[in-house]
Amino acid sequence: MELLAAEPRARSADAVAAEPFDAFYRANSDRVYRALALTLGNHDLAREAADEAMARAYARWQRVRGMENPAGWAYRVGLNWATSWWRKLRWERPPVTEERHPAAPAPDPAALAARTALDQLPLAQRAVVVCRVLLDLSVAETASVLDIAEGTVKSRLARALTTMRDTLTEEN
Amino acid sequence: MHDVPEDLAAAVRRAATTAPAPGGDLDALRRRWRSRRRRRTAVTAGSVACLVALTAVGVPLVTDRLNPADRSAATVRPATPAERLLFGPLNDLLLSGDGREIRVVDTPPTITEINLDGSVVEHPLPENLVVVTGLSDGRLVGLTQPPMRLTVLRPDGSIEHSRSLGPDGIRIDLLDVTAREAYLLRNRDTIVAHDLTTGRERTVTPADIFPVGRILVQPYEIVLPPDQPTYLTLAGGPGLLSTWERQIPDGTPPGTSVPADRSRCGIHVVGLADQRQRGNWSVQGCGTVRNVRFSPDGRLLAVIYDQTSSDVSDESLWRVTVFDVATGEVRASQQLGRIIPLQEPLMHTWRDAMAWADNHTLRVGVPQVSENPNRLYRYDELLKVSTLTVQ
Repeated sequence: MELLAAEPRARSADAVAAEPFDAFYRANSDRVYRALALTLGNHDLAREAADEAMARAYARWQRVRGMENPAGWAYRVGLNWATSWWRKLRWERPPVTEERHPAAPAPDPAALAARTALDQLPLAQRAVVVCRVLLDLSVAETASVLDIAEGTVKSRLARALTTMRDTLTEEN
Repeated sequence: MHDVPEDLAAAVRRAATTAPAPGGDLDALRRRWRSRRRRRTAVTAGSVACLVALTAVGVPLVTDRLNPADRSAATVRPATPAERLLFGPLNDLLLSGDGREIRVVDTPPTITEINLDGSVVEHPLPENLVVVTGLSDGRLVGLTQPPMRLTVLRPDGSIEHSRSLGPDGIRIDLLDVTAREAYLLRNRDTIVAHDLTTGRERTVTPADIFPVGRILVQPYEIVLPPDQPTYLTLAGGPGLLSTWERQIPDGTPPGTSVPADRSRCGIHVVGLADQRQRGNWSVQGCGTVRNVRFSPDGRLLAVIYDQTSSDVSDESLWRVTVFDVATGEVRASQQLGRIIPLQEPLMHTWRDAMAWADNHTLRVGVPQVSENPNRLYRYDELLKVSTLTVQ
């Protein structure tokens, strides 16, 4: 199975600013979607959130393109949309637990084990892990995207990695 | 990324491959945006809010809900409101960024309560307590999941009891609670009254009296698969239920976001005993129903709705109108103010709430921000509570 390669470090804001939306979409839509899928643990919701985030980026591209990290912005918009949407649902009708693991067979046992380990983390920790690894954001960028302090990024990341390590070790 | 060991980073990337292909494309995205632009200007068919009055069991239940002070002195504002004004979980702070951009900061989940004297009380919530409603004696009742449990919190926040509601995977919605019973929707098909003390349950009604519709998740309507047909919530006392239903063309595939109806909202009141419609009226200029609440005696119905016909990214103008349930006559109406600016990623985080202090006094709380936010706000700073007195 082809692994998601770590994307090159974010290009300069100037380079992004000159980029048409189509290129941004092609380069980032899948990554943002998968980052949301891992964070939310719900593929359908992640798909909807990613589409929503990209639609907003498209509508506001003149502004978004000048941001330091448009992909991080899209991720945050999608995450906020999904979690708030979800919270709204949860507030009035609890989510169906089986929705969390929709039927999407993973042929790679290692991938499935990793996914299980990630799913056991609190959402806040998953978001940090996803930002740092999948979106390849720095600590400072992660803090900015998630609106948390850099120290919080570090502590959440450390706790998440420890838990993941323990879980994966147990499974092995 | 030196702080993430490479083997764990690789594991995270592997985990990402378990997500199926997103399936979206640029054309679909552009269609989505064009549809939204049309929605900003096109005013089309109305929304429907179906309100079902469980008249057979409702009257005694509603009566049970009232305390003696309400019955004897309805025009005197009680020291203890019939219903508590609760917002939540309000785990958000609003942060001003560049002057207009507002963002959300997550904090531990809490329920925020506004007392009659305007004082604010924060109620921290246990982890996983996701649906919460308040009793007039100070307790909070909510669902904890997973596993699905009914949890009662004492006024001091400690857990009075937490009882399993069944095996994992069962679908349960908490509709409302009295001092004695919690009203639950089990498996989307049966409404039961769950005794808070004993856990014993009695069937109130099958849920198929409600029109089969689609879920409304404001401001978008998501067409759900057939096994999740209807959005259902209790609007007022345990004798009064409501559903929201949107008229969506048959055959619309699950997961589709469809344009919101933006011109009027239809209100239907249906009696449970005979399943006959008792009232049917339309709220003109209603873009989206946000909340409904019956008075404790079931005679009045308050509806919060968004008057704007624009997309959610524009400012919103909210109004609350109180109807006479029997006649549909408007008994009171008040604009709640302009909610600005609704910009991403905040737009879906707003909360609104209303509660009847007695049968004639309605409290409504909505969050409002100033034209030029310039600092960090606590959410309760932004809540503006209005009081309507209905004669």
